Amino acid sequence: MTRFLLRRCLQGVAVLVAVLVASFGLLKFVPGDPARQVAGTRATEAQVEAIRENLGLNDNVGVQLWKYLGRLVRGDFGSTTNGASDVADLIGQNYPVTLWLIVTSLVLTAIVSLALASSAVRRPGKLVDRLVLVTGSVGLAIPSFWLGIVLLIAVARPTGWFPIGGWGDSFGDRLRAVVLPCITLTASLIPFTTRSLRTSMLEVRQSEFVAAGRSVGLDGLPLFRRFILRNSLVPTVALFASLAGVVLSGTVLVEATFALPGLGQMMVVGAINRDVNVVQGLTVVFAAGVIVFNLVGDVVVALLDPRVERR
Amino acid sequence: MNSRSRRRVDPLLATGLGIVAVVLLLGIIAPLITSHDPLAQNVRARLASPSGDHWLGTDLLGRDVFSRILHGARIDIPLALVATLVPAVIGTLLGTVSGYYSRRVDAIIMRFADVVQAFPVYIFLVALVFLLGPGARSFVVASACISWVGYARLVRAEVSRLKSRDFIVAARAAGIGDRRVLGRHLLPNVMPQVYAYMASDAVLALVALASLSFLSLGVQPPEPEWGRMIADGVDRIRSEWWLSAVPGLAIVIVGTGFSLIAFGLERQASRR
Repeated sequence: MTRFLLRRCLQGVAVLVAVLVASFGLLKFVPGDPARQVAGTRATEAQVEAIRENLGLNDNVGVQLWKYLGRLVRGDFGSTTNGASDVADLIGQNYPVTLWLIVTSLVLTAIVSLALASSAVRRPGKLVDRLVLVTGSVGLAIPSFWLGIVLLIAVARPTGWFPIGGWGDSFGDRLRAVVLPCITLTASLIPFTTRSLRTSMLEVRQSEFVAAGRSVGLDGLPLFRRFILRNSLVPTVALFASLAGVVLSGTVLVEATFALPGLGQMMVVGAINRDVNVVQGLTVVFAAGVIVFNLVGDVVVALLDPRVERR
Repeated sequence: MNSRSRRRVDPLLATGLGIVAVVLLLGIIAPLITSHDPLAQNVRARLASPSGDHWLGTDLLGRDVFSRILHGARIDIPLALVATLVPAVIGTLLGTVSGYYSRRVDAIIMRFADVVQAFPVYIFLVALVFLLGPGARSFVVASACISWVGYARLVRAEVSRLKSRDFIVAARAAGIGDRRVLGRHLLPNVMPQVYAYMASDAVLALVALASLSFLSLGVQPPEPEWGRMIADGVDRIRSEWWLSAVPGLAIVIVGTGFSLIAFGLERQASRR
C-alpha cells in the first residue's frame, strides 16, 4: 500500500510540474509585449522598460521559469493587470462559491445517476433502459449555459423563488442562489455518469457471485442491495474521481450563466480582460485541483478494493 | 457477411444524417427562405415580437432573429466539423505511431496526453483562446491541441491489440512493408471506431463553440453564431425570452443529429 501511494503521489507531482511549465508558456507565448500591456497605452518607453525589468522579462527563459516556479511554490500569483488586487487574494475570496457549487452538484449527481442506472439495469434492453440511454445522448447535446437560461425563464421568472442570477449575503439567499446552478451542473454531468454506471452495474449483474446469490433464492431488492449495489461502489468512486475535469469545466459555464462570483467567472473575465496573472494562476489552481482529485480517488479505490494496487 | 447487409444503413445513422443535412441545407438556402439580411440593423424595429414579417421577432438591434438562426447553421456546423476533423487526423496519426512503432515514441506521446488531460477542457480552451486571441481560428487550433488525445488513445489501444493478431503477424511475416500493413490491413479495421468517435466528438465541438462564443471568446459579433445569440438575449429573458431560448434549440437539434450518427456508427462498428 505504501509503495502504491508513493508511486501515485510521485506521478501526480510529475504531472503537476509539467502543468506548471505549460502554464509558464501561457505568458511566454502571449502575443504582444506583456510589459507594454501592464503599462497601458499611454506609458513612455522608459516606464515600459522599468516594468519589464521589474517583471524580470529581461532575464533568460530558464531564469524566468525558475523564478516563476519559486513564486508559485510560495503561493504568489502576482497581482491583476490593473494592479488593484492580488490574484491569490481574489482566488481566496472566490473559491467558496465554486466549492459550494461543486459539492452540492456532485452529491445530487451521485443520487440521481445511481437511481437512474439501477432502474435501467433492472431490465436491460427494456423501456426504462432505452429511455436512460437516449436521454443520456440527447443530454450531451444540450449546452449547459443554455439549460441554465431555460431554467431561469421557465422556473425562476414565473415562480420568483430563485434570484435571476447573482449571489447572496445571508445563508438563505445563497442556498436559493445555488439551487438552479446546481441543477444545471448536475444535468450536464448525468449523461457522463449514468452511462458508465449502467455499464459497470451490468457487468456486476452478470458476474458469477450474483448468479450464486440467485441460486440460493435471493431475488429482487435484497439481491440488488447486497450484491449488485455494494459491488458497484468501487467503479462508482473511480468514475467520480475521473469526473473532476468535467465538473470544473461545467462550473466555468454555469457561473458565467448565473453570474455567480466564483473561480470560473473570474477565469472568463480574466481572459476577456487579457489578464495574464489571473488566467495563469487559475489554470494552475484548476489543474492542481484535478490532479489532487484524481489522486484522492485512486487512493480511495485502492483502499476499497485491494486488488487495484497490484495492477 | 454478405454485401447487402453491409450496405444497409442503420436507421439511427440515417436519421442523424438526415437531421444534420436538413439544418445545413436550410442554412445554405437561407437567403431564399427569408428576405431579411441577418446583419441588417433597424433601430426603429428593435425587440419586435414574433409576427408575419419577423417570424421570431427582432433582437436588440432590430435584426431578424429567424434569419440569423438560419444563417447560424452556416457558421456553427462547418466550424464544429473542422474542429472535429483536425484533431481526428492528428490524433489518429499519433495513435498509430504510438501503437505500432517504438516504445520510446509511445512513452513520449502518452506523457503529453497525460498533461493535456490534467487540464479541465474548458479551462484549457479558455486559456488557449486567451493565448491566441478570440475568434473562430483560435477555437479550431485550441480544439486541435485538446481533442487529439481521445483519438490517440483509442487508435493506440486498437492498433496494439490488432498488432498481435494472426492476420497482421502473417502479413508482416510475408514481408509486406509497414506502410502497406498499416494502410491495407490494420487501419481499415480501426477506422470505423474512429468515425463513431468523431461523431460523438462533433457534439462536444458544437457545444464548445457555442459555449466559447457565449463567453464572448469564440465567434465575434456581428456574425450570427448561435451561442453568441443566446448571450445577446440574456438581458431580455424577463420579457423577450425567445431571443435566448430559440437559438439553443438549434444547437440541441444539430447536436442530437450528431449523437444519433455516433450511435448508428457505433452499432455498425460493433456488428462487424
